[in-house]
Amino acid sequence: MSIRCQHMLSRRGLLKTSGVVVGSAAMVSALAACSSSGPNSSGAGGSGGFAASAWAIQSSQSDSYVAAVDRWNQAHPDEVIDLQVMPDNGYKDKVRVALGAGQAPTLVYGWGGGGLRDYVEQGLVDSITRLAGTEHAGIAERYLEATLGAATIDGELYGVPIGNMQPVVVLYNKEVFSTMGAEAPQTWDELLAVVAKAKSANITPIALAGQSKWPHLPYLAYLVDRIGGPEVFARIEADEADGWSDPAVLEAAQKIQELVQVGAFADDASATSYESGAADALLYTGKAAMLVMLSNAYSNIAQASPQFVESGNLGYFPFPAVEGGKGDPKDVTGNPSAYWYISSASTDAAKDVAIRFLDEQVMNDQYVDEIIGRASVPGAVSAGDKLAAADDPFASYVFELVNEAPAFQLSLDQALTPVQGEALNTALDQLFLLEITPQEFVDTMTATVGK
Amino acid sequence: MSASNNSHDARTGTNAGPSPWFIAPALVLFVVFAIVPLFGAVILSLTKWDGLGSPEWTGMTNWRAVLTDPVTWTTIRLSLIVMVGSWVVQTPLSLLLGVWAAREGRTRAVVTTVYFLPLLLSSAAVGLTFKNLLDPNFGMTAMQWLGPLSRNWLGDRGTVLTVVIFIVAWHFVPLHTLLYQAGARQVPKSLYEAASCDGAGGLRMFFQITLPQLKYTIVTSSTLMLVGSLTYFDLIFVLTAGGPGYATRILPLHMYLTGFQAADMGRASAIATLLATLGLMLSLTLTRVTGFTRMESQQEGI
Repeated sequence: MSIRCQHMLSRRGLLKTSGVVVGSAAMVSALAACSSSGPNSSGAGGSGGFAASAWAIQSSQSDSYVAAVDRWNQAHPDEVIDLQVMPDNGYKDKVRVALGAGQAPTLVYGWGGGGLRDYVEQGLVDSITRLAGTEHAGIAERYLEATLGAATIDGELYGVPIGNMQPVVVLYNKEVFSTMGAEAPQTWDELLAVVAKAKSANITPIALAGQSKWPHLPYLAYLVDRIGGPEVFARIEADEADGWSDPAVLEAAQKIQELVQVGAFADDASATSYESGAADALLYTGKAAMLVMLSNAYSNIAQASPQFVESGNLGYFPFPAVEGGKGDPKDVTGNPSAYWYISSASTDAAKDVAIRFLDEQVMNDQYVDEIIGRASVPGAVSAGDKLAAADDPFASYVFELVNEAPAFQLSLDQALTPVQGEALNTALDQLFLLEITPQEFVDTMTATVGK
Repeated sequence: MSASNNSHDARTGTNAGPSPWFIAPALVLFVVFAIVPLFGAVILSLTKWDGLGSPEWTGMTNWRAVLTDPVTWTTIRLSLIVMVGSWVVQTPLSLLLGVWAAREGRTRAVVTTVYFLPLLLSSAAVGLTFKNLLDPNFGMTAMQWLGPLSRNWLGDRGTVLTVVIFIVAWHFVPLHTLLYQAGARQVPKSLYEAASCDGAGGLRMFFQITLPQLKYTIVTSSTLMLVGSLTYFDLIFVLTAGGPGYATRILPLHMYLTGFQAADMGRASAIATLLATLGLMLSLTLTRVTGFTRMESQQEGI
């Protein structure tokens, strides 16, 4: 709430620059708006004096949205967009309820995948391909192919990427690696060898934030991909009856338990949460050798322990290949981006404003520069050269990793339907805790087909 | 004149009290915000609905699924363990503390005030605080000199439920202490004076006077505790999110995760109905067994 109000204040402050008195009057009205503005007043159809409305969540990237809307509002004082930036907690529930009730803003913030597919099937969001037509076709052309996949359904684009790319990489502590005489592993067996070395050096091989549950997901996504290729999850996402019973899933589950059994994770991993920063801290304090995590962990660590990153001790490598596997080791999983969808309940005028805003202000040169300035990597084509010029090796690495990836698997909890995503979170937790066998894991997930 | 009329009416009972229309506003609120949603949930439990679009009628499918799902019974069992555990831990503690705090004295006043602080914190804050304190790597329990106390409390299936019951007690004992303190202060001093004339000791007075006099406070506090434990949600959600595995997934948490994480509103409504039924049965049984509804006086003849 307070975050949202802050943004409202700064935006209106910019709009009304004619003096302190007017400024404070704007603050009072903005504060009043904070307490009363619900979906109604921001307007499904752009009522309440706004031409269109938008929701976003507070994150390391929210400055982008605020700046883009500010620029638009200054250039188009008669077509002002009302942006509300809110905390992540409960946002998904809120947006679901709002969309179901026809009270959603014009621009709806989301993550693509199974959740978006739900909305599309219910006719709650509009095809951007169709709305943009030929006049604004440039909207889609400025992005890397990999970032559009999660928002493309049946060949049509339903979401415009607005954030940074976060593929999952393996981060490692170079100092720890050199004291135990290990090299960055390229294959699964080499990874197991590094784990054994770390064990004998009395260091946790891999930091795992098991309590948050979602940090388990990349292990399954990567292992299934490396063993069976991206087709396996494509069939699971298409809800095919024998999708989960593909031998690659069983083998991946076995490999996960093998990793647990050789002691790759600390015994207390199940009580470690990612949000508290504990997993990052294990890596930069040298208590753990590796961390399998979304690439934004790099900037989190850079903030928490700048001296560690500056000393050059933070290394990174892609998830290792599995010997004899069918998948391309260049495939990645993670979050390609956050997106803005366009709510179909909005008026045509509001949709028109939204499309022109997306074309004019989102992922233009300035927007891309701002993301890069925050040491993050936008999924825009133009970012390649800019990153090379910025001389940030990790950012360039992330860009190339995604740019060269033959397949980008969206994080599984987003990619699957909500029922399957929730079941997967718990079943994976039990798999890592050795509470269920790999076969039971496969059976549990097979039972969710069609739900 | 009107006054004499009124007293006349009251004596003969021709005027049964204020007009029944006075309860209308409260009744309307109760129906709109309690009865209608309750039946709404029952109806939703007979449909398949993901929160978007319109619900699809499926009859008893959700109920069959919920009642045959072993997870449902696990969560009910866990809820009962938390319920009984909370009662066993909290009642003696808050009773003793309340009786102790009821007497006068500056030390007591200071200790009592400090002691009520947990009551002011929200469950989410309590959950976050303990989660950080018990962090196995960077929390208080990571300190080596704690010996056997330094262990993985929240990640171990063997200890996590006990820890949850302890934290719930830490949060709620002050509330119940407050109830017992108020109850103990209501006990007439003359009873103790008479007992001490008869030569009764402190322990005897506690068991023969204080405890019987607190009967209804015990019933009230226990009902609040037992029925309230069916709604513990926020604290556990923040602390463990139901994990590890299913180790702390109690019924309300199961309902939330089914409804809002898995977007299966129909099934969540069936779980919610189950939960409401359990709560209702529990509270009816409690008031019936303890004779609370008879509302007889404890102080007759004093």
